[in-house]
Amino acid sequence: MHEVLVVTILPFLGATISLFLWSRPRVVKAAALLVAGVTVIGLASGAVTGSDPTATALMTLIAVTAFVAVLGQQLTRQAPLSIVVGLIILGLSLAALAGSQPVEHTFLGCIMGTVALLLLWRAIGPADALAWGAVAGLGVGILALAASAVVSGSIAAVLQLVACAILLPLFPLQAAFVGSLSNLPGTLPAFLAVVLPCLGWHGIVSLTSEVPVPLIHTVIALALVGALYEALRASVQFHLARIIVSITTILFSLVWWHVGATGKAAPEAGWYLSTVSLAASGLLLAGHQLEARYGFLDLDKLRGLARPTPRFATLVGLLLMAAMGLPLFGVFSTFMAMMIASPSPMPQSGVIVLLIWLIASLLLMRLLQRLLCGQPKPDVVYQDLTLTELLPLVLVLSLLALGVHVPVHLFQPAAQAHVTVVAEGTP
Amino acid sequence: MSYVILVPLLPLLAAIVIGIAGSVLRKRSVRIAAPAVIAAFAGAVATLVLVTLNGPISVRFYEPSTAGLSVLSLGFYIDRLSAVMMVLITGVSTIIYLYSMRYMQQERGYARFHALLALTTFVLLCMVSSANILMLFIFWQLLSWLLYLLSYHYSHPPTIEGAFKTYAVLRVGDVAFLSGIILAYRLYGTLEFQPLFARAAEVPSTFSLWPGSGLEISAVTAITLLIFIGAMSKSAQFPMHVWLPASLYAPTPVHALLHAGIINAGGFLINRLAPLYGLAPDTLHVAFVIGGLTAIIAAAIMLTQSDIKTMLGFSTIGQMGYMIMECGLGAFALAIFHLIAHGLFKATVFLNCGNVIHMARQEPRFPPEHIHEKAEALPRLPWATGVVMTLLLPLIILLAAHGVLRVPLRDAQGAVIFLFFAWVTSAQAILSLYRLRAVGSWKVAGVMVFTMFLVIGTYLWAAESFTYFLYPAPGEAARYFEAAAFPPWLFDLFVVTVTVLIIGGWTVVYTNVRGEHILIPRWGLGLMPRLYMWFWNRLYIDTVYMRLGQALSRLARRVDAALPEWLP
Repeated sequence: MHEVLVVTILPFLGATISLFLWSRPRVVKAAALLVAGVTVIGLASGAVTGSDPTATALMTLIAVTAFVAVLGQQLTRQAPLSIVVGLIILGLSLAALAGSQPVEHTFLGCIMGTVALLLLWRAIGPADALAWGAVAGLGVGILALAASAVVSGSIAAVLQLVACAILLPLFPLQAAFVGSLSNLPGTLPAFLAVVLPCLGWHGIVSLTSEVPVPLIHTVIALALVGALYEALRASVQFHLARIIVSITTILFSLVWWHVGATGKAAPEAGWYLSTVSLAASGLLLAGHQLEARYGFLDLDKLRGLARPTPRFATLVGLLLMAAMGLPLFGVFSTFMAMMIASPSPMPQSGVIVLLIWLIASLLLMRLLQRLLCGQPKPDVVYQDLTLTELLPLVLVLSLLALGVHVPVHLFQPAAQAHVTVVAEGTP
Repeated sequence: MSYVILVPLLPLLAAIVIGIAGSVLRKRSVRIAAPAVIAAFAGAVATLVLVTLNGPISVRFYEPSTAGLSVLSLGFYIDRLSAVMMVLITGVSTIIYLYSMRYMQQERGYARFHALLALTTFVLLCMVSSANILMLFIFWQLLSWLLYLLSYHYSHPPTIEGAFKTYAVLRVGDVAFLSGIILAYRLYGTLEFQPLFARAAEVPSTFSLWPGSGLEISAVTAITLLIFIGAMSKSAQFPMHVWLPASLYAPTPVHALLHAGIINAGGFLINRLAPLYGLAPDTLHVAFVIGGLTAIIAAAIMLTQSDIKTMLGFSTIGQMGYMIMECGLGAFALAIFHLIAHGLFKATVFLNCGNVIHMARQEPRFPPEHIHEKAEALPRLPWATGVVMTLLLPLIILLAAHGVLRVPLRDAQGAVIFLFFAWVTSAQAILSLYRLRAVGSWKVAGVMVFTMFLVIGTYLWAAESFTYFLYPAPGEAARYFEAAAFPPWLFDLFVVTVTVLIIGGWTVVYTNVRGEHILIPRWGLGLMPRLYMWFWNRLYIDTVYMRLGQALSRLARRVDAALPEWLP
């Protein structure tokens, strides 16, 4: 227990020290790397374990992503803010995963509050409708968590599920996820792309009360409708981060579909979620490198990167390949495992799921073409990634490749069938 | 026996080395890739001999366990089919490498091209020697991705558009294939070839298309149909053929590999799963219809095109249609025989086509202007020879073969249709080579007819031997023919229709050449130019897809504009 406490406190300590070093971004980054590195070593070595195997696996994943996000952080004006908030969220999320309820819910609320405050602190104007939507969504999540503490039974389960649907985006509650990841500075979106869904997943796994059958059916319907809706939104966007987040939301909706179709948080779905979030994180990290160079992520202004920036193009190509669910990377194998573990031979909704998978794949290919193909813009000075900038992306790709062989039992919940469906007619 | 893994590993190693040190190696990349592929070819030939003598080779790297994807076992299963395909792939790759040495010399991405080509060879080799259907699918998908990388040029807008089309069509096929795999695993609990075939044969089950609707389909039919869609996409079958002409701008060696190797994947897949397809007559009938449609449409479109690469592209689509048709007839081995012959032939044609294009660019008077020859009076001998070869002989084959060869028509429908193929192919070949006008004497005419018989005989002998080589188990090949048999009335209708078409076609051509007029209704005459325009525009299928995409895009934009801004 002491080890857990140390690992949880360490990021807060790092964040506090970083506050004093605010004017020296390079030192802040080095300190944060040290903190994240020690946390990763502590978790990966098995010296520190969470409340259950799922929690430990998720903690390790979050810590590794934090390390990669700090490593990929460009030393811009926003860097200290991004790093410090990242460390705070790391500490809070580790604490949420290590603790049991109601501690977990308290920390979840803190994470949502931190993200909402940061969005507000960045002085969003009335025109930033998406950011306001995110703040509202996060507010609903905090309220749902608070309310679940005072009620019990099915109502508590429904409220907890609402909070989970805000973290792991489910239509129509995806505002918080989409808005946060599209608006936050630095590599925070890349970090949150892993943190929020992982916490949402752990929330689903830890649901102790019974979820009514009609709600489960509703979840399936919302997941499928939400995926198609996000596909529609993604197809008309021109902001790189927004497109990536929308497509990630589509892919996450398949997790919700699986939870609804099987009536439980199956380990295969958890494994799938972790690989999808990693791929999204890698893509957002690549987006951060572009934003640091060119100051914008508008695909109408940015194109033809394949020729002038071959290293970047290769890595982004591979990341997109992984996100598309092509073999050699974890998303493919986890998707296969999840589909094979689906409930009936081929449920009708399964056909829609495969259609959604196809649409996501085509949207990613379109993104690849818009970003990398075409004649380079004559008014843009292109600059390829340096070797140190390559490292975080290579790390993400390596993790995605390793994802093919991650043992499923890592995501096996401690207790069985947490999302218990009240079967119709059961006394 | 594990040395056989060197066959796919050698091209992989070459790809890795060139991929890493390509910027240093540059023009010397081929010195690494070509020997590796040539050595792989030698290894593939040795493997074929070994497999023929000692039976299938099985190599396992990884057994299913709790780690990783629990249904996937990694390994190779090399039987005669795999070995034959390995020889074909490495053979074609060798030819392409030798050709590319000089042809691609001035290309800026020379090293990248060789690395990708070596990687494609590796993926193809692994695909044909996969130990189970999931592993086959993994390499199948990688092939889609590599095809995209090989056939696009990132700064050329039409190529980019074509590449997206290629990927989109192949991805649709991939998802259908994936559905088939998931369904197979859910129903039979395995993805290993032999246990899957055994369980599918043991447990005939049906599958409800919609709960409570009463609409049911045989599980094997559903699985094979889904996988067939995958095969359709890779083998460019109608209406999924649009990607092949769209990859027109790819370098000539890539075309050669595409038309001689990659496109054969569909035929190989059906052959690999032949025992499963043998249990699904309905799927085989669908394959026959799709293949037939593709062959007819592609041949008609080819006749109206003027670009050499487009013509060859549609020729390949037509040949793939034939190949799928053969699968639909249960003649699985014949399909492989066909794709080998076509692969070698088309690789040569494409590589020559590259030279012709280069020559045309350098020499303004090439190709020479077409001079219309004045129509000669109709000599009797050539026409008599033509009639014998392309009208009488097939009719004799069709109507008398069952007596002479003791092949009962109704029990061996596939054999009869196969004889038709033999006739069509041989007649076309002979007529193309010598042209009717060249038949000036009885001696030449006799030689032509004799050659025709010789070709048909050789074709029959080779195909028959090849069938027993690939499917040596007694009665196996015959069982597939039986499974693919049509209802007697449909078969009779088919035979009568084809006979009427042949006689009708001949009558029209004969009377036209003689300057006489056959009674064709006015609407029939008016239809001709319209049909020409339709085929010239490739039946507007590309336009339909494009309009569909544009309509979807417009709809998305309208809905997006109508939604409030705060809604994510």
